[in-house]
Amino acid sequence: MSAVVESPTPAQRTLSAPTRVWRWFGSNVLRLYAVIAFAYLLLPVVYTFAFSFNDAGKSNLVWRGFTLDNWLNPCGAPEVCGSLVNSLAIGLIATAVATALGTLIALSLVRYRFRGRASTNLLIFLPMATPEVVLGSSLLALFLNLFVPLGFWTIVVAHIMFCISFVVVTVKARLASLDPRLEQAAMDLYANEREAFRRITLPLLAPGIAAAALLAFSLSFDDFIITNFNSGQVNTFPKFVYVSANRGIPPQANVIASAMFIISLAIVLIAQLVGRARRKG
Amino acid sequence: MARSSDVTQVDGDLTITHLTKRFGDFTAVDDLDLNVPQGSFFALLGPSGCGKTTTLRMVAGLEEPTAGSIAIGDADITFSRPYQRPVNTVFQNYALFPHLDIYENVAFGLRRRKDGDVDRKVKEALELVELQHVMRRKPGQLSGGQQQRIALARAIVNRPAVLLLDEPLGALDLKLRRQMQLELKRIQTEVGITFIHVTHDQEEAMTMADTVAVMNAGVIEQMGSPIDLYESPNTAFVANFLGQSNLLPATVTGADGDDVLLSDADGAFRVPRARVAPGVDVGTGRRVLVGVRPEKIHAELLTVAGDAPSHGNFVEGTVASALFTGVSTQYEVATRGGDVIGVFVQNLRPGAVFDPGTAVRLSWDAGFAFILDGSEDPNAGALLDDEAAD
Repeated sequence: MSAVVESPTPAQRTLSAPTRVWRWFGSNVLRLYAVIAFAYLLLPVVYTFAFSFNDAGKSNLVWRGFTLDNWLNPCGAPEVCGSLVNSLAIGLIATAVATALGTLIALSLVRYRFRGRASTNLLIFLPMATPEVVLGSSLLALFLNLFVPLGFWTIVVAHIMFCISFVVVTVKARLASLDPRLEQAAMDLYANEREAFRRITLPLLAPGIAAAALLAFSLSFDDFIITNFNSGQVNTFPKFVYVSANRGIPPQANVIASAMFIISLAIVLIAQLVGRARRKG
Repeated sequence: MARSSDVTQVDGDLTITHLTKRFGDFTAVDDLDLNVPQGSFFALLGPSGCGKTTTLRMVAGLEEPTAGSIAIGDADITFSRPYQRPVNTVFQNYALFPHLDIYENVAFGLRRRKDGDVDRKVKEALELVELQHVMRRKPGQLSGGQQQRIALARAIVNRPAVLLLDEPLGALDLKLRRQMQLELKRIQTEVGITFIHVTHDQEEAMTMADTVAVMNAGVIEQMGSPIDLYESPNTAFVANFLGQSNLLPATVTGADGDDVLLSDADGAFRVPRARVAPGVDVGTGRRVLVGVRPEKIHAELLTVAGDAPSHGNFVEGTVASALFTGVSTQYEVATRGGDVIGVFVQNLRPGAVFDPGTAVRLSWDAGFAFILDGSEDPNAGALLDDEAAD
């Protein structure tokens, strides 16, 4: 195809300059569009990353010079690391519980016919469809009515609740593409129900479960609205950023945000490379 | 007391007694009785929806019977779990485990049973299907034919008392299917395991099986060797489902020694009493169907009206259509009495094809015809093969 385009035909040689520019634009418009779209998406990331090297004073709004101090001492600003540790802990616990429960719900919804299956299917979607403000405030009302003290565990409970929906939907999609005859074949080959699940169903579901867990973790990690209603005195990283935005976000927050971005990028890259190597091997 | 995971170690004939399976109002398998001798290659042949796969799944333990029992030798396995039965299955779409390599796929059953000799047995099984070299590949990297053979090796390596094959060649193209038919037959002879092969392809069943059971609407219509079924069908369904048949309504006019005498609009015929299907009444005046296979009919040019064959089994008509297929020519002949008879004539001499419109005389040896019950639909099973092939 390219050979045809590049070989100069007599007709092309006589084209006027504006026509040629127009032609070039026509054949590159999609590329231009892609560049602009990516710039739009990545500009905030680039900004955050750049200002993590800012030698900031009281506020991190104007560029005052390059420094590595922020990266060398990310816990330098008060409460940055405390809130980060809280967010990580909440994220890990909520992910583990939501993934385990969500996977089991997905299995029962796809593999079994029971009374209330259709309504369960619908209910699972509700937390995804309900506005977070509504979820957060009704949870708060519930906790207050039950005299549950707000804090770390109320955040965990709230996060598990909305993460389950996403886990169920993700694992269900994987499960739907799994041939039930594989389990039958395993049982035919002397594996009992438990072994068939452990050796066939679970390994084949693993990519879906892993994707669900990553999704759950990122949802939990950056949730602000629901957390803000139910956190009491406990600070999470998004809450810290929001609160400190009034008086200037410390550059250490930029460091942590940039580090998170780089780590997740690295995870995706490694997963891709491992997948490619496995397909070849 | 045996552990629940112990596999029943038995061999012997597979005996199915009064087996019934109902799904709601629909009876998929209806009071089926079957005995499959140990070491035989047995085919369960029928159109789709006839209950053959349901029967197979009940033997495998993947479906629970509504009534009846299944036994291997003396051991009743009707309600044992699939993993407790000395039965293995080659699934229709192979159901190879995509995340395990070929070696581990084949070793799966041995490992579950804690077999002490996994490596040797897996390699032997792969050798049997001539695929040792793909041992470390994943199922997705294999062709359809190779996957089929791996599915077979994965089942056979466990040396089950009974091996079940559910339309194992259905997904392969015609050439590969022919090759695999020979291969399956070779492997069955080599390992001596009872094979139960479910198929809708009559050619596949006839070329491989020692015994064929033709199944229709949940019951077995007839069972026997391929030759018996083909030459002496007992029902119109069997006559039409296995190959083609001309089934002509006729009336019994009497008996002459060992022959039954009959007549229809085209004249008089005779058929030996031994060729009457069991249970068919051939008393004078009864309506029956006279069956003749198209290749058993001799067609000749009708030159002189007087020189009819002395044995009497002939009709006269005109060629309605002629289909030249190379090896043979298939004719449809409209008889004077209003029937249409199919005839296959081998092309022994070049240029000897009758054109449509030619007046011909069709005749056959009395011993090649057979008699079926007159109340049957002469077209039963005639078109089902094509439907099932979809």
